[in-house]
Amino acid sequence: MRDLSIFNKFNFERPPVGVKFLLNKPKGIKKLDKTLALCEMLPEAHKGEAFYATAEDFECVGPLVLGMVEPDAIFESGMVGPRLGIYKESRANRRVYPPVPTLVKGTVRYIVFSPLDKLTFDPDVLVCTAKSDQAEILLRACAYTTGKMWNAKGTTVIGCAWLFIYPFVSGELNFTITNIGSGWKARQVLPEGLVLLSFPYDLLPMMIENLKDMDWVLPDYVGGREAHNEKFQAVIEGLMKEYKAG
Amino acid sequence: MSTIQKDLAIFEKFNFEIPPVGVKFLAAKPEGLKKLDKILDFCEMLAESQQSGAFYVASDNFTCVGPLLLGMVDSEPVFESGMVGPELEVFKEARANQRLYPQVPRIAKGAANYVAFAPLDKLTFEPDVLIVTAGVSQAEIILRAHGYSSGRSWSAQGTPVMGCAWMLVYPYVTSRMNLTVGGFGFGMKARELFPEGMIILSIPWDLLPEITQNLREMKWVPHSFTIGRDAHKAKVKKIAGDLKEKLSAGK
Repeated sequence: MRDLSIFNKFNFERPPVGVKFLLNKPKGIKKLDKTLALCEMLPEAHKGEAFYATAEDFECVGPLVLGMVEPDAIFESGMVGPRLGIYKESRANRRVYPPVPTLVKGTVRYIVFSPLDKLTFDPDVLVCTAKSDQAEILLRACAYTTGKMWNAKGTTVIGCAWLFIYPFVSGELNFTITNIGSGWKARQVLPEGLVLLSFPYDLLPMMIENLKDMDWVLPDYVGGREAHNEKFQAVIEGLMKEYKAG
Repeated sequence: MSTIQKDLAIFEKFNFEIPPVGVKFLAAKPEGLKKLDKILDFCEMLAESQQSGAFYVASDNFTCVGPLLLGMVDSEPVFESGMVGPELEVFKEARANQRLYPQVPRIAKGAANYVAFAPLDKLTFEPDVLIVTAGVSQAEIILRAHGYSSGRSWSAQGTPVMGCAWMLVYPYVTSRMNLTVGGFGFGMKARELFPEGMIILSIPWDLLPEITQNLREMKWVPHSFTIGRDAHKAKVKKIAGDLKEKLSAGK
């Protein structure tokens, strides 16, 4: 199993959570003993214990985006959103569904959640609940050796699909901010203003290497604006001199 | 109050701590605006306008990569080679930093010789991009307005450096809204430009009529946000149950 212990160095208030999508029942992990929405399973895992959930453990659209059930005409027709005041008309809400990332029907019968210190499996997606300065470090780590841009995506509703499933099916990281989505806000899932970042398994090795290698708090972040401006000018002048000489 | 201010007056209802700022990219010098009397980075000009009012800038007002992104200069080999990033420890190697440049949004060369900035209450021009610095609950309302009548998704694109390109230029050249978080992005963080955790939304001119109309029309605080978690869950269950019944009856 991959060593994810570098994430402990952040001292996150809420632990990173590994998520795995499984066809068959996981061994050695207890079943969730309550019914929750997919988004609510994240804070449930923050409490400290690993668990798995199956179709009967969900409320809301979780089973639909996980491909555990047949399409649900009530939700997919877009008729719920206008009744909650989230969309003007059902056609606006309906338009949300086709782009929403989903898993192929029947390929996932179980979803496992585990906080970092209880991980017994290699996660498909790792979800970090971070403050903005911690999120900055994570985003920088994703680009430190690659120069890759970030492209976070979401919709007003069904934030769970973008957080948990999008990274798995796309191989791209995603992030959102708690309470900028309607379901998360109405369900009071987590305190406002936290950055939720989700990383697919195949980005983690590069990220971990970069987190080990790079400075987390750059000198320019601690010296203040003037010091940064001075350093920046000196760097540019030095490079310009080399360029002209070369 | 100008017509433009009237059109955007709905944004005043938010009582933002930091005023929204309109930005315009111009080929010809704007009339009735004073020229900025200092040299700043592109990202700093936004903060300057939030604090000090309306002004315009030309290529001689810039440091950093602003003129390159605005098409005011041909090239900046020192920056575009990627050599600056590793010096500032943002990237491991120049090749990682170099890879950013083809992805970063830019304005066509010669199309923007001047850039005008004005806070909402000083707007005398129709902005190409409106930059809103919002708290999370305010950002939620704007994001909901962005999808209220269209179902449109939101996205947040960026890179660890050149946040100015993503915030100011990207919405203009793509017609897409963008957002970032105060504290993301090397330059803006090192220059301490925006409070940590604030959401900075940049809205292109062609999305503004729809967003302002939706802001006028929709409930800013839906009932579900006021009744608590369990009552919201019960409400959704009842709505879905009623719709199911209706659907069955309609068969």
